[in-house]
Formats: sequence, C-alpha cells, structure tokens
Amino acid sequence: MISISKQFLKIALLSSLMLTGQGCSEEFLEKRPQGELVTDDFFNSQEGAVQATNAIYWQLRQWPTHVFAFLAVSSMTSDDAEKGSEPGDASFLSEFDQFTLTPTNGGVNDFWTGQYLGIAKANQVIERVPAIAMDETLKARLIGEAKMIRAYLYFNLVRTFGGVPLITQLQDDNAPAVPRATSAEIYTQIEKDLNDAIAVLPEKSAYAATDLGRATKGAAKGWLAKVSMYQGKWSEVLRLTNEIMQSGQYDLKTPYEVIFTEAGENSSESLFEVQAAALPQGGGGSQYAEVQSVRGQFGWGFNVPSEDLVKAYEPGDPRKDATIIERGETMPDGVVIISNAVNPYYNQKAYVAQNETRSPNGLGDSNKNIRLLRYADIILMNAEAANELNQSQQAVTSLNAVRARARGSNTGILPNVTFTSKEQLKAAIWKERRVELAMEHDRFWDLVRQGRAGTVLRALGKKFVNGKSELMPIPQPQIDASGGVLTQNPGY
Amino acid sequence: MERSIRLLILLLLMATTTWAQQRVSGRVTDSEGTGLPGVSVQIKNTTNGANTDANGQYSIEANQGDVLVFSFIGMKTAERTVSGSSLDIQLEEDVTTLTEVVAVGYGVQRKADVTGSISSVKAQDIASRPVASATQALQGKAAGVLITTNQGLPGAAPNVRIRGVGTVGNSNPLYVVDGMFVDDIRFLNPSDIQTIDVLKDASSLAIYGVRGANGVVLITTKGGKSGRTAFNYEGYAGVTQLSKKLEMTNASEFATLVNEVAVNEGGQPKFPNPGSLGAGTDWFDYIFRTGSIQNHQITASGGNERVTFNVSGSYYDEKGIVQQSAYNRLTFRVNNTYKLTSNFRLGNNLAFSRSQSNNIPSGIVQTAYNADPTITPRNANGSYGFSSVSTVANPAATLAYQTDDIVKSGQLVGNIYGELDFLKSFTLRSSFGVDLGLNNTRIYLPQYFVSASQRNDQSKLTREYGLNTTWLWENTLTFNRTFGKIHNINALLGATAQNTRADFLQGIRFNVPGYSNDVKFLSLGSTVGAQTTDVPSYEFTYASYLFRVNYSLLDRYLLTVSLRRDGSSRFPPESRWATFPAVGLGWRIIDESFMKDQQLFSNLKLRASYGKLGNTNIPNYLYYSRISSGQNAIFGPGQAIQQGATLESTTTSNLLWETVTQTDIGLEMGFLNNRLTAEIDYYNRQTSDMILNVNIGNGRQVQANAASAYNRGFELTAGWNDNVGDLKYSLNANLTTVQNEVTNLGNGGIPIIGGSLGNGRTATLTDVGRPIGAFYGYRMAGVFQTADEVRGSAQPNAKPGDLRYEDVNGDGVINGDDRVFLGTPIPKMFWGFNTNFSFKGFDLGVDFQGSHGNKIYNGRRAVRFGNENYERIALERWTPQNPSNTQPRLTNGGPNYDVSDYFIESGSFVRIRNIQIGYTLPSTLLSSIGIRSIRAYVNALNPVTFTNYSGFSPEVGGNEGATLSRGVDLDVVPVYRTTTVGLQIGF
Repeated sequence: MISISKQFLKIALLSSLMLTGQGCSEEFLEKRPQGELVTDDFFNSQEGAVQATNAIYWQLRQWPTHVFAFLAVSSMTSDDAEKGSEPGDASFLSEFDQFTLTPTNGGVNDFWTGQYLGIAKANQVIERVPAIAMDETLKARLIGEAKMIRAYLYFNLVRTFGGVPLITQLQDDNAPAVPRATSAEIYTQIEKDLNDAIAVLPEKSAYAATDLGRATKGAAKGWLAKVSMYQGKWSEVLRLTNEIMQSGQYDLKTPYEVIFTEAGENSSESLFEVQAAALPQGGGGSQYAEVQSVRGQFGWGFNVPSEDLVKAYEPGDPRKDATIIERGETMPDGVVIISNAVNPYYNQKAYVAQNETRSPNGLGDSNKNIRLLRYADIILMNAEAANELNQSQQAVTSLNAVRARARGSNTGILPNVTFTSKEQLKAAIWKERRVELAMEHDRFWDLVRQGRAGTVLRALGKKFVNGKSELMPIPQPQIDASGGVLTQNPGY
Repeated sequence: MERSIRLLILLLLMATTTWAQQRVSGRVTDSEGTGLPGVSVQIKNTTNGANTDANGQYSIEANQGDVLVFSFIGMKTAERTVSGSSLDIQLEEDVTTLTEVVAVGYGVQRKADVTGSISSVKAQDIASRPVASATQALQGKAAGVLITTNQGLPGAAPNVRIRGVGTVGNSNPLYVVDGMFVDDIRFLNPSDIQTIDVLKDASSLAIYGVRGANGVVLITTKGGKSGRTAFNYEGYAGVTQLSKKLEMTNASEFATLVNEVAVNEGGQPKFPNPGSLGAGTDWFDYIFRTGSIQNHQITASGGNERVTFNVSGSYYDEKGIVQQSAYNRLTFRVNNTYKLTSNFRLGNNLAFSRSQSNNIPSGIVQTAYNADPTITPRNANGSYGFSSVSTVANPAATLAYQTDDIVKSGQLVGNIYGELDFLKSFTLRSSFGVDLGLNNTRIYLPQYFVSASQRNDQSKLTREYGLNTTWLWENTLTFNRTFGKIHNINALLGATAQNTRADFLQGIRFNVPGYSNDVKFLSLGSTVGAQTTDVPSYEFTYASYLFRVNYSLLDRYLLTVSLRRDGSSRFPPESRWATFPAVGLGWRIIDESFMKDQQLFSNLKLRASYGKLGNTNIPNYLYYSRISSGQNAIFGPGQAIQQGATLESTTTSNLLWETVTQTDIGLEMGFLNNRLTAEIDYYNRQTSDMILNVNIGNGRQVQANAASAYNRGFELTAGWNDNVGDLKYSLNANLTTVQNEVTNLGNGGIPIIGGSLGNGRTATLTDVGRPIGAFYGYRMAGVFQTADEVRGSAQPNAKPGDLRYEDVNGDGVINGDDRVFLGTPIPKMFWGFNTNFSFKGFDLGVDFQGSHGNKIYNGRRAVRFGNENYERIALERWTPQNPSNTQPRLTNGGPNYDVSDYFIESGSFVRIRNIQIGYTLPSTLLSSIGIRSIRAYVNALNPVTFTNYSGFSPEVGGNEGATLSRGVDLDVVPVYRTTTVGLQIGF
C-alpha cells in the first residue's frame, strides 16, 4: 500500500510538472478551427478565388438584397405597382407605396444592408484575388465580375439614397465609420468599376456553358449605358448601346411571354439576371417569387400591378397578358387563378408555372431568376439616346424593333411609331419603357430620372414631396451604427 | 475534503487520555438516525473526553451528574447530564453557527474563516421541489443570485445571473459539480445535492480565474457515512397548470376589428357580418393542457471506516402544459470513498443520466396567440381550417403534423480522485473528471397541405448525432499547519488541464415514409436532395495554475491571497495567458478581548476583498479569420450549383478575455446566541474589456473588447431561528440591489442596438450611462384626437387615433433623435423570504420571492405582420366614438408600432414561489415495522403571483446568449404552476 501511494505521489507530481512545461502546454492550447477554412489558406488558391466570386452571386439572391426590400424600393414606389396583399399585412411596405417613409422603416435598412453585404463580398475578391498565383486570364475575369456587380449595387444605392459611404477596400474591424460620399463620387466609382470590367470580361458567348449567368462584357456595357443615361451622358449611352447591339451576342428573338419563364432564363434577351434554381436538396432559390405569388393560392401576394399600369397598355398589346395575372385567368400551364383572390392583379413575371422545377422547400426557395438587365432595355436606351442626340432615324428604328417583337405575328396591333417631334418621340420611348419593362424594377427610378416622379405619382394620390421623396431616408440603424457620422437626407 | 478534516480532528482527539470513574456509553446520531463517527464527547470543564466510533458509539468514564458536551463540525453542540450508564443523543445540523463549513473551490473552509462572499444553500432548503433542475429550486434562496425561468417547458434551464449582468455577452456562471466543470446541471438529480455554494466575490472566485467573472456555483453531491446502511425512497406526483391565460378577442370581436383595420388602412371590410360569428375558437384551449409531473428516487448510503457509498437512482417524468411537450430523465449516481491506507484515499463521484425531450413546434404559443379565432380547427371532413384574412398557421394543424421532434441524450459526468497525506501537513490530490455527452435528435415532418402558407410538399427527416467529450485533470497540493497556536497557514498549489471536443453529424432526406418510427430512417428516403453536414464541430483547451494561501493570525485576523493563471485556446498565442489575483481580509471582531463583556453580539466579523476575474464565455476561434462556406452560386443552362465561400465576418485578431474587477465589503453579525444572524455586503463589479458584437453598419458585425460597465449594490441576508414550545421556526430573508450601468463604449461610443423584435424594429440600446440592454424608443404623449391636432403636430402623416410621440428635441419632426431611454430590463432590487415552521410532526415551508424596478417590452402585442388576433384590450381602441387618449386606433403596422413606452410595462412582481406542508409519522409507530421514518407532504410551486404585467408571466429573462433582448417578451412559453403530493420513506 505504501508503494501504491508513493507511486501515486510520483505520478501526480510528475504530471503536474509536465503541465508546467511551457512547450507542451503551448501545443496543448493551440486548437485550429474544425471544419472551417481560414482566410490565409482560402485566398491562396485559384479554387478560393472562384469560390469567393461565387459567393457574391449567392448574395444577390438573398432576401435583403433582391427580395422584399428590393421590391419595395424599386417597384411598390412606382405607379406600376401597389403594395398588395391584405392592407394590414406588412404595413411597413405601405410607407414605400405611399411615400410616408421614416428612417426607422425596417425595409429601408434591409435594402441598405443587402446591397452593402454584396459590396463587401465583391471587395474581398477585388482586394485579395490579385495576390493569388493563378491563371491570369481567370483572375482578371473574376475581378471583373466582382467589379461589375459592385458597380450595380452602388448604382442601386445611389439611385435610392443619393451619396452613400463609398467602401471599395477591405475594412479593418476598428476602422472609423465612413461618411457619405457625394452622389457624383459614387457615380465616378461606378463608371470606373464598369470600365475596368468591360476591359477584362468575356462576351457572353465566350463563357463555357456551365458558367452561363456570370457577368459579361455586354452586361457591364449595359450597366454603364444605364448609369450614363441617369447622368444624361447621351453620347456615352449611344456608343455603348450601339456596341452591344453590334456585338452579335443578343437579339429580340425570344417571344416576350417566354422571357420570364424557366425556359427563357439566360436567353438571347438576357444581359444579366440573378441566378436561382430549385435544387433537389433546396437552398439554391430565392423568395422572390413567393412574396409576389397569388395570395391564397400560391404565395403572399405583394407587389401587385396597379390599375394604372393595366390602363397603360395599348389595345391588344400582348405584353399586358404576359405581365399581369387577373382573377379567374387560366394560366399557360392550365392553372386557373382563384376568382376571389385578395388582389385584382398579380405579377406574372414572378409566376412559377406548375411544370417548372420545384424545391423541397416550396416556393420560398424558387427557381425564378430575377431579370435585372435585358436587351429590350438596351434598345430603348439606344432609342432615347439617339433621340436626345437628334438622330431620330435610329431612335425610331430602335423603338420600333421593340414594338415589333411585342407585336409578333399579329399585325393589327402596336403599329410602328413615326417621328413627328423630339418631344413626342421621347414621350413614346418613355411610354414604351413602361410597358416593356413593367414590374422589372425600373419604373420608379426611371420616373425620378425623367424628373416627373412627383407629377406622375401625386396624380395617383401618393404623398410624393418634390425635393424629398426622390431619395429615401438613410436608415436610422445605420446612422446609429456610424455614431452620427452619416447624415440624414433632407426632409426626413 | 470535509471528511478529511473530520478525520483529522478524529485523529487529534484520539490522542486525548481518559480516566475512569464509571463507564457511560451511548450512540450519537444525526437527524436521520445515522450514526455519527468522530464526534467529540467531553466532560464539561475537564479535558476528559472520547470520540464516537464508525457507528456513532462512544464510551466514557464519567460521574453521575457530570455534563457531557457533544460537538461535531456541522452539528449544533449539545450538552446532556449523565444519569445512568446509557446516554443516546441525536445532534441537530447546524446551519448558522461558526462551525459551518463551506466549499470554497479546491477545498472547504470554516465559514468563520472565509474572507469572501459565499451563499450556501443546503439540501433541505430545496428539498422536494418539483423541478428538473436544481437551479430552479434556488430561486429566491441566495442573496445576489437572480434566477429567471425563461421558458415554461419541461426540462428547460433557467437563466442565472450573479450580482447583476456583467456583460452583454454570455453572463452564465460556471457550475462545478464535485470539482467537475460543467455548463449546465440538468444531468443532475436535485435530490443528489448536499449543498450548493455560490461564490460571488473576487476573493472566492479568483481561484477560478478566467472563468470566474460571472460567478461560480459549487455543487457538492451527497456522500455516504459510515454506519448502518440507510435506504430512502422519495416520490412525488402531481399536475402542472397554466397560471394565467391571456384574454383574446373572440371571433365576432376579431372580425369587427379586422374590418375596422381594413377600413383604417384604405381597404374594404373583410367580414360581411361579424356579429354572426359568435365566440369562435379559443386557440389556447387547443395548445395548453393540464400537464403531469412525477419523480421517484431511491438512495442507499452507508459504509464503514474504510469505505463509504451513496448510490441513488431516480426517474423524472414531466408532460408539459403545452401539448406534446415532455421531458423524462433517468439518473444513476455512485459516490464512493475508499480509505486504502491511513494516509491514502481514493474516491469517485459518478453520475449517469439519460433524458428524452419532446420539443414543441417552434413558436406554437405565439401562433396560438396570433391565430384567427373565426376558423374551425378541424372540419368535419378531416381537413383543417385556414384563415382568409391572415397567414398565421392553424395551430391545431401544426400540432397534428409537427409531432416528431425528439432529442435523446446520454451523459456521464464524474470524477475519480486520489488523496495522499504526507509529511504531516501535506495533502496531494489528483482528480480526473469527465463529461461525456451523446445527443441524438430526430425531426420528422410529414407531407401536408393546409393552405398556401401552411404546407410541406415533401416529407423530410432530419437526424443528428452529437458527441461532446470533456476531460479535466486537476492536481493540487495542500499544506495545512498551525504554528505556535498563533499562525495557521493553509496553502494550495495546483495545476489543471481541460480539453473539450464536440463532434456533430447531421443527415437530411426527403420522401421518407413516416407511418411508424420503425421506418423513420434516412436510408428509406430519396437520395435526391439528400444532405449531410458535420459542422459545427469544435475543440478547445485550458491549462491553468492555481495558488491560494489562507493565513489566520490568532484565529481572528484572516488573510486570503488567491491567484490563477489561465491559458486558453480561445485566445491568440501572443496573448494567451492571463493572471487573476485576489486578496481577501477578515477580522473576527467577536473574538477580540474587548468584545468579551458585551452581550449584544454573538458573532461579528468584518471582511473585505478585491481582485480580478475573467470571462471567456465567447465562441471559439474568434482570432482566426474564418471563411463562411455554403454560399453557393447557380450557373449554366442546367442551373447547377457551384461552390461558393468567402470571408464574411470581420475578424478581431487581438480579442482578449473580459475582465471583472470586484470589490466586496461585508459584515457578518450574530445576535442572541446566533438565533438572529445577519450579513450585509456591498459589492462593486467593474467589467472592462467587455466583448461586444457590434453592429458597425452596412450589415457588418465586429467583436471587440470595447466596453466597460459596472454592477453595484448591496446584499442583505438575515435569519431568525427559534422555538416556542414545540413550535420550531426559522425565517430567512435576502435582498439584493443592483445598479447596472455602462461606463464606456469603445468603437467611438457607438451605442449597441439590441432586442430585435423580428419585424425590423429593435427595442433596446446599450449606451454609456445606461443599463445594459436598456429599452429605447419614443415616449407616448397621448393619442391624436382630431385632424387639426395632427396638422399642428410633428407627425404630419398621422391620422386621428394614432399615437402621439413626444417631440423631445422640439424640432417639429418625430424621428430617431426623439427616442429616449424607457427603463431597464434588469431588476433594481430582488428578494426572497423563506419561512419554515415545524410543530410536532407537522412542518410548513412558505417561500416568497420578489423582483422590482425592471420593465418588460410586451413584444407579443408590439409585433404584427397582418391580421393577427388581438388581446381584449384592443376593444378599448380609439375610435371617433371612443376618443381614448391611451389606446390608439387599430392598424396592423405603421408608426403606432414603433418602439415606444406604449408597449412597456412594469416587470415588478411578488410571487409565492413555493408552499410545502408535511407530516412526519411518529417514529414510535414505525420502528416496530422496520421503518425509520415516513413523511408525507403537499407542495405547490408558483401558486400565486402578484403583478401588474399583462402578459403570461413577469419572468422574462431572454434567451441564452441574448443579453440585449432581456425583458423582451416574445414567444415565451409561460411559467406554470405545479402542485404535487409526495412521500418520503426511510428504512
């Protein structure tokens, strides 16, 4: 027994001493993350560079970036759409519809956050990928993709809030809050990013089929054209749109009603769309379709076409039927819309047909790609720029190309527009933009750009205030988080 | 340790000589009739004495008429006059005198010698409470310890805060069960607990170093005593009931209100004839039920001078007040000590538990609160009704389809230790402890369709296995010696190491048949869409060195110096080690010569302590810059997945532990021979380097050692023990005040937003000069009555009937700048008052508890997405006919739902926490049938609550890790009332 206790004493004392051994304990205290990559390893390979770029695309289909708040900011605000659903459901969205927004509205903060989360992911690629030893062509392309998406997200922000904090680098965790840049500074950065992207991105056809949906030279040019249009740089708009039209990458051959179906995803019409898929395991889709689907039958029923939009179509324009779901309507897939639906109209461009692929998570994880930039928009920009630059012949040609596609084989409708005056043609182009691009997240910003948002929207009873409502309030949580560095927009 | 001190005393006393007059013998027992070994039996005013043997027997030479003094640590000293040759005596346990022993971490100490602040709760104070976790029974028992029941779900762990809320992060204390560190004590059968000692100040906590900042709860489980083997059975059974049901509008009222809202918001009425709808469905009747509870346990304990044992087994079973909620637990415990040689001992404390928790569908109480009362739960044809005006799920359908969410766990917690005495004054102890946990979860969701918004298109099975392994190896060397009867030194030196690893594996498949549990297997599901994952998994380690010296001079001047040096894998190599020192001083004034002649005090001791503690309750690997994976992109005509991952979180490379510097000054007093005892403490806990999860804008969060805060206050404890004839009674009161304030925020003083309501609004703001997680919003200044009032106001978009907010800065606009602090979620004062009475065979215990000064944000009412149901108070809404100035017009959203004091209510309450009435049968009746004791009792837990709060229960703690959401009442399953009858039998 004595020997047992001596043995015990020896072992215990020895082990205490062993623990004391500094080298041993340092190793004992070094535990690396389990099942997680660390940044130094990850941003050290071509594989990491590709994955980091893919993550930007993932962000694009997320809720704060392109779903609820995006619909509120870009669509419910316009004369094309109403909030939809039950009057009391998600009432904060009514503040967008009615222009009674306050800085504490959660939707504004969601939208802000959603765009900046994408910008942060783009910054990771733009800042870290250059140092990676990898295929240089691929490297340049990945950075170009990140720059194009970053430019697009800043374009959303500058159109919505005016000048915002310009963050183009990785931010240290204790970096001071970045104040708002001017709107002009944001536009300068957007143009720089897009020009950089145009220089390196391949055309759509130069991508492998498996990479269809990535940012392309054509898409970057298209965004630059649109950004230029918002700044009245008409010769730039004309040059860029001409280049796109001459690139041979795009055409108007896709029938209008097909563009927004699963079969029309990434068609020859498409310059850029947010990619989503109904994967068998789920997790590849977005909630974009669910929130807009027929209430009581498929989804939540928000962002519904307005009566004003319904009336905006010329007689017989088939685009109306392709855009607007009515109560009791029989859809192309044979589904009959319930006759007592809460709202009179729903957005058909967000409709998921029964024969399209479905995720196990249902419509909340739907396959619907979110169309952000398509060829008809390019052609209408071309028309508008040409008209502004007094090249009325090209303006008329472009405008009529869009009408011709809409007309299809039905010669009795949508007659060609002829030139009478610059102003008349401008009005015709604006009207065409509305019906062609209805419910496609263009109209509100377009009205502001055209300088007539107040007139148009107040006529519909909305409380639009000139000099205030063109921009939305800077979200209060962002002002709070900046410690008051961010200033509020006028009138809020 | 306690036992080793007893043995030491035994050995010392054995040396005492005895001489003979006449032999008197007898047996000394404790209150349960178990023989007490090592009791000192001394003839008063002489040095003659003896000690009891292992069975409690003693024998001594004494004269008739001599007075024998029986004394033993932890027991009240008793005197008996010798008359005859036999003298048996039962000693009473002593919980108040100077001989009380408390656990101090890596040892025990006489309470009289302790320089720190420790609250001790004994087994009998929490006995027979119908709770799964002992922490729940601790409510109101200890000063400085605030325990809040978060969720009224069977087996749910309550929220424990010691001396305020020290951090915006995880403020949970460390639990140390028989030396083993655990996060949670739900594996433990409360009846196995001997004592709970809550360490509160720096002097007592510094020995736990980097894990001591939030306080430490030391739990000692029951061991065996040498002597006859005692068998005990205890069982109780009873019912659980919802204490308070909220009154919702019925179908016709709801329809009326929905119509009104529709019109208010510019729509058309939804219900053509609300009056015809009648009462409709009360959804609470569908989700709540009368639950049941039962617990049975058998213990056998005993031993001889070489070996002691305590073996217990218990079964706890509870069916909750929400349909389907259930929890059961089987526990086994084996505690042994083995005296291998005169100076070498081994021991073990091992507990095995197996539990099963049947979880309710997430948010079902809130769903029932929100659900449309006009719909039929289930139609005659078997289909479920669904609302035409709201997307809230049909709770009856939810309960019918989401029936299978079961977690089964097995856990082995314990340690094996050896102790060796050598060179007279040294003891070496080595303890190896383990905590092995195996969790197995199954969630099955069948395919169903209720409505467009309540559906599941493919059945889905999720199975999870988790294995958690912790080992803790502690080696300590103790030195204890008194020099010249003047200096006593008790020193401790130690080294410990801990490793914790968690592994996890989850599989998901669709289209799994679900007609019986026998076929709920992943293998039977479709491989299309199958998913597996094995993160999160993690591993962390600690290595530590301990040092403590207790020095006492002349038995009345006390000094404790403690130090712990900790290394943790949670921190980067360059700042991995931290040292936490503390010093405690004590002065037993009562033992001074100048106190000899006074009669007022029977105890008087002043103590003070100061020291530093740490908190590492933070996630692992924060100093690594880690990649978020699973952010996959879709490309190609086939819309195929391409892996995506990136750096998403902002990484703080130099994150350190939080430091709490605490000062404590205490005064302990006893009066009237300690019939009245009182203890007053002032504490000041300063947290610095607080780790914040800071929203730094643009969707980014950062973790940083950025803030400081303090918790200050007083703790008062007072006890009165007395008897009047056969009536014995004790009254124990404790009261704690907490003043919590943030003193500094790093990151440029940017306040921390918290308390998300889930609708884009946040209810709390943590700012300098305010309590952590204080409520923040508009102050209501009535209701707009007319369009004229609106026109002249700062809210030009308001309508008559809308809430009018105070334009605090008077700039004519209501915006974020007009928000103000609206109260604290942390009680400013809380107290407990515990009473015990016994009269002959009867006993009665009544416990009261109260909490004051905190606010609750009634999130249940404040969050609406559409046409959810209303509480009946909505019927008092503003209408042109009812120009209320306190209730706004009804809307489903908009500015009336901004965060304001309209939704803030007082969280103060007084609760009768527990009532127990028992009767013990006279032992004379029982001894003939071989039964030692029988006691029957009735117990009521949470029978009555006095509060003005309109929600289910004023106990709103906030969920784990959500310190900044404390007091936000959202989707809380209410705390309930439990009534049980029980029986205790001793053989």
